Amino acid sequence: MATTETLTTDILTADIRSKVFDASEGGVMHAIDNLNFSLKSETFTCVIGPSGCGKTTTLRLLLGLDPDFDGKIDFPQSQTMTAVFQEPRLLPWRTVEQNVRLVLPADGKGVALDELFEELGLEDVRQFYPGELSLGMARRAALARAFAVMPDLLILDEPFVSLDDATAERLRELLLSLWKSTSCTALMVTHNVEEAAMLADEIIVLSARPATELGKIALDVPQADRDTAYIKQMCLKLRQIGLVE
Amino acid sequence: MNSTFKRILVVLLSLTCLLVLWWVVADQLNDRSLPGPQAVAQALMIEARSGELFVHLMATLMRVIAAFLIAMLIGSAIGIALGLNRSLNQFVDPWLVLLLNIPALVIIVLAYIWFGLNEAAAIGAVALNKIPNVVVTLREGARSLDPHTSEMSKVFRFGFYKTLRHVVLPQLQPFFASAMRSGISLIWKIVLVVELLGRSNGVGFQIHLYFQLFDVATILAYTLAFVFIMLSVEYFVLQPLEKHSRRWRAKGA
Repeated sequence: MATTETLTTDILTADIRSKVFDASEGGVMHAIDNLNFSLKSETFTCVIGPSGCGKTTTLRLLLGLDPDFDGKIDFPQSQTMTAVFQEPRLLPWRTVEQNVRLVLPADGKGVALDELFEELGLEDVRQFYPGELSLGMARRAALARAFAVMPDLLILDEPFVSLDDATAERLRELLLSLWKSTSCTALMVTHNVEEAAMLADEIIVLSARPATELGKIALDVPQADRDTAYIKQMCLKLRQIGLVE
Repeated sequence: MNSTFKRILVVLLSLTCLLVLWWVVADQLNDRSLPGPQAVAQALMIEARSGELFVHLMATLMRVIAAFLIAMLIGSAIGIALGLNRSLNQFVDPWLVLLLNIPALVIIVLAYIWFGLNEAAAIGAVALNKIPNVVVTLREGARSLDPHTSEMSKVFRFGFYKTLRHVVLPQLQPFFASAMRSGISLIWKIVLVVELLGRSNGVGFQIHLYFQLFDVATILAYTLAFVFIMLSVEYFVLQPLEKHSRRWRAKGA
């Protein structure tokens, strides 16, 4: 019974009443309006919604990059949260390995780097500078950096956008296997419905701006067992909820 | 390899032409006010043998280094702070404009009057002349910092020191290089004025002394010797340093 209880603990609770930006000509732009959700430990949640609806803004609030909003986000200070951004955001003056090592805490707590590099297929480019990498490889390095600190919560902002299908597919598999093996909680923003249906335990659908929740679905089939038919069915369900492209 | 060799050859040829031109003009004029290369070399030998040359070169070099380090340190700190803090910049900017427009000579004279004819006043005055330039350059650098990498360092909880060392300073490298380049040449020229006005050693002091004796050969000897030292600093210290910190740019990107 105890195990079930730990599994259902919420690691993060977001209660965002509103987020506005100062727009040009003195007006304001409502980015988020009453968005509430919580993330259960060790689950994979996807947030989907139309372009420009405030998905990235939501992630920035969760990451603590923008404290200027009305609402509350609960995430224990003792836990670690890391991120994979849309752009890999590696430091160009450090090699792949140096980039990853930089995020490790001073006490050395983290995963075994050799295994991590091997799993992500980065062994051969450890000593490369980010400028020498393809976008796909740079994204792998960004994943390695995010997993190196053994995060409790991993935030991903469209980490596979503008990759070719095969590369994106391969990276999704890698992400799933790392997520499983590190048993972290993942929250990923995407505008790709199929991607969400492949990866998520739960999908939150957002409205157009100002972002608010239109609905959510829970996916009960384990990720590894999902076939094309199931994914199609889930996509259909998502499109019925609303404004997804 | 071939092009480097060619470049060196052109530089050597150009310098030889200048030397020949100097020698011909001096020979034709045959006047105390423009001694030829041999006379200058002779003066250099005399000063070197007596040991005077090294004493004064070292005195000047030490002042250049001290003023340079102080100006870079203080100027960078202020510049970065102003680049990151808009309201602080608005407040301090008028001071900066004022300081940029005060002639070096005025700062030197005032420093000597207010703080006495001592080493601290001399070095401080030189540094104060250079600080506004460093501030302006590094302020520009801090304004152009990439917000994406700053956010990354926040998310990964880098803390102040780690962010400064691994995220901020590497991005400012080109601005440091530019401030250092223009700094070292400006500083050594001002150091000579400081020595002329209120010190009892250094290249500036010697030039003042030989100016009164109308010994142009020795004046040129000291000047050339110090130019040589500053060029060595440029080629053997500053340029390798810059190359080292830019090594990641050579690959890809």
